[in-house]
Amino acid sequence: MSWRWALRSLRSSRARFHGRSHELFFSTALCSARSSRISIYPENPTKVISCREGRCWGARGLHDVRYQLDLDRSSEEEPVDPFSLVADELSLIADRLRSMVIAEVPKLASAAEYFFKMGVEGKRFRPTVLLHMASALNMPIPWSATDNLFGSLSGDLRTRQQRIAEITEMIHVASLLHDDVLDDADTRRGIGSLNIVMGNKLSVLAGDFLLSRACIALSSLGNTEVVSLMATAVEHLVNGETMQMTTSAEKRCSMEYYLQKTFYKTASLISNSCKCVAILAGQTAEVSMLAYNYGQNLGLAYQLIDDVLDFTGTSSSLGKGSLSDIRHGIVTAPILFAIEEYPQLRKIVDRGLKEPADIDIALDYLEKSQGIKKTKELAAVHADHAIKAIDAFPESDNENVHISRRALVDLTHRVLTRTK
Amino acid sequence: MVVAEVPKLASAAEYFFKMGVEGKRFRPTVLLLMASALNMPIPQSAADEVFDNLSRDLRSRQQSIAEITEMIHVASLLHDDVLDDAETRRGIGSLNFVMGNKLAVLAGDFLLSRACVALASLKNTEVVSLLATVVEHLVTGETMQMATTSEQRCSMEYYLQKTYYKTASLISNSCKAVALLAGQTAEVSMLAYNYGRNLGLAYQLIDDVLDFTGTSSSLGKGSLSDIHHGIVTAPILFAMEEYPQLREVVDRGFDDPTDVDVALDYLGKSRGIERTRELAAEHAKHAIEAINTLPESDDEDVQISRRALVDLTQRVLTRSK
Repeated sequence: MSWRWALRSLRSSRARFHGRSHELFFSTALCSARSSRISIYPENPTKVISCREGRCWGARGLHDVRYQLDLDRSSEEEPVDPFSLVADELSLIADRLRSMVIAEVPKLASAAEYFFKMGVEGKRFRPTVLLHMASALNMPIPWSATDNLFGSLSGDLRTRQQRIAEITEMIHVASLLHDDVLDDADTRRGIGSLNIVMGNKLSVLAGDFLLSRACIALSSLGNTEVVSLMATAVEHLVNGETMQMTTSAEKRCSMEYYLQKTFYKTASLISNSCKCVAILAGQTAEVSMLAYNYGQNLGLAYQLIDDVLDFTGTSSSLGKGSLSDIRHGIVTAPILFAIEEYPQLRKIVDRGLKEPADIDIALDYLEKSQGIKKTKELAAVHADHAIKAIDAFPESDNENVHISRRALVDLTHRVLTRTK
Repeated sequence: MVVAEVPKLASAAEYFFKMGVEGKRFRPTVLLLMASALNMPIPQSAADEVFDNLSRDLRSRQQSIAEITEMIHVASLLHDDVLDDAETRRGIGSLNFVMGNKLAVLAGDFLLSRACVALASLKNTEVVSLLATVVEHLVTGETMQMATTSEQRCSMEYYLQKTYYKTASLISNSCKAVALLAGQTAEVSMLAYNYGRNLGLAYQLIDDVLDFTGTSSSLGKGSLSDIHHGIVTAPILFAMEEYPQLREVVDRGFDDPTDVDVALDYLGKSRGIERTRELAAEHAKHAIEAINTLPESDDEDVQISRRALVDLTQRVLTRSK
């Protein structure tokens, strides 16, 4: 794909990227090297942004250079990939994370670094969301500000917001390590789980270690509200896991309980970290709540689709998914909806879903019911709320802000349409 | 909210309180005394929230440090007890072991998360950093204990570093946190830290001795739990300096009871116990020096507390259990 080539050569020459002539060259190259990407989204982006007049963005650094390039791409009405928009920053964050989790004791070091190694960092969904949230709330600063001052201010803010992404990842991985011990998991992110590879105790200790490093990084931001929010997120993660481990039969079949648990286990971390990003940017309480709402709804939508995929896998038919939830006796939204339609399914669920025959019966009911469909609908409702939150952000002329807000909206679509 | 809803977690929390009852409540005592010892009028408050630092509010914040410290301590005990799969399978009624394991992880996480929230509510990021560092140190210390090479096991330096991480860091950093909350200067906060550190080290060294001597001053009456767990402590390390041949015995591990007897024999002949006590006394002295270096105060309560802190160092040295 020749536009990718253009991207790569631009990236390598970004240090020399100044002035209009280069812009025109590359945007021409891109315009002529149209790739025929098949849009996987139900609707095409309808907004067309005009190419920026030449401006020297040297002071703003590579971050904005990337946006410049992708801005030109969007002028061709191609969908921009939220992940590649922040790819360089994600690499930077990954590198910093690796350095932040280094421990003195070799055994602890290998345990702590386990899920931060290249190739096993996961989908990096959370950092992507947070970086776009940071940009989406980056209200325009007068261009007349001196380069240095502007550079140091925005650079410092950006670094602090990146730190939120790092902290969020550390907390997330810490919770994964403990969850795997609690669930006796064998694999995680395509490799052996740490508890299998290095034992339960080391996994637990490594999780504690990551949590402590996250707290230290958190305190270095010097913002007590941010510390509170992330501490709350940590507490919620534990609450969610506790709720999952110790449910009564009554609660297992309660949609309310399930959604609360899902909020705690999945949505709270991303919603609170979105809010932190907003707070660091000096946003008002209202805007910070919008950021929170986006994260919360995105997280819930994500989990609901996750539940569906566990049944459907990469096909849209049942039973092709890993069925790992149901096999662990975890009752998720599709089953809960199915129970509403077929109360007799409740009895089977109450038996604990330990028998393969019971699982087959449950899947049967699920297929007859509207369970999958209703779950997808609920996810779409949440995705919609997330979009509304973005739309309610204060207006901005800044192109980058627009791009990131679009990326955040795009992410909600991706959450709904992903197949794995 | 969570505790009320989840009975199992409530019993884990009970375990926490029981620990507090059985334990000597040593740490909270030190911290509360430190708070009183530093209760001096600050001429120019460095803190933003001057009015928040009314003595009652300050006191409850400092008490919070004591609570947080205990939560972290118990969480680390719970997590240290997590067993690996091989061990869980060896247990009688393996399901109990497995559930016990999981509950230990969850209960520890619960306490840690509550500690985080409580820390955050103090609205002091430096304090957050200090206590987070404690967690890191506890984990590091435990890992050092889990994974030693033979070289490291026989190194006094390694042992003292591990002891700092596992025992002294908690008390030193929480003493420092108490000082910071009181708006003390960096110098005074470091003195508080030094007191805690030296007290903690002295405490552990005597603990090591008592494991051999128990309530008598002669050997072998103690529980000998360290040596039976293959943990090499200061008395043995000192003995090895005098009797290098003891090193061989230590390297064999202490699975064989006769090896334990041989080691105790060497220990008895050596000055191991005595030198450990001397080292503890030295640390106790440093702790006292730290208290004596604190800024002067006319306040009666301040003086009483400082005397109590000095007294504690002596109690640490002379206790027999």
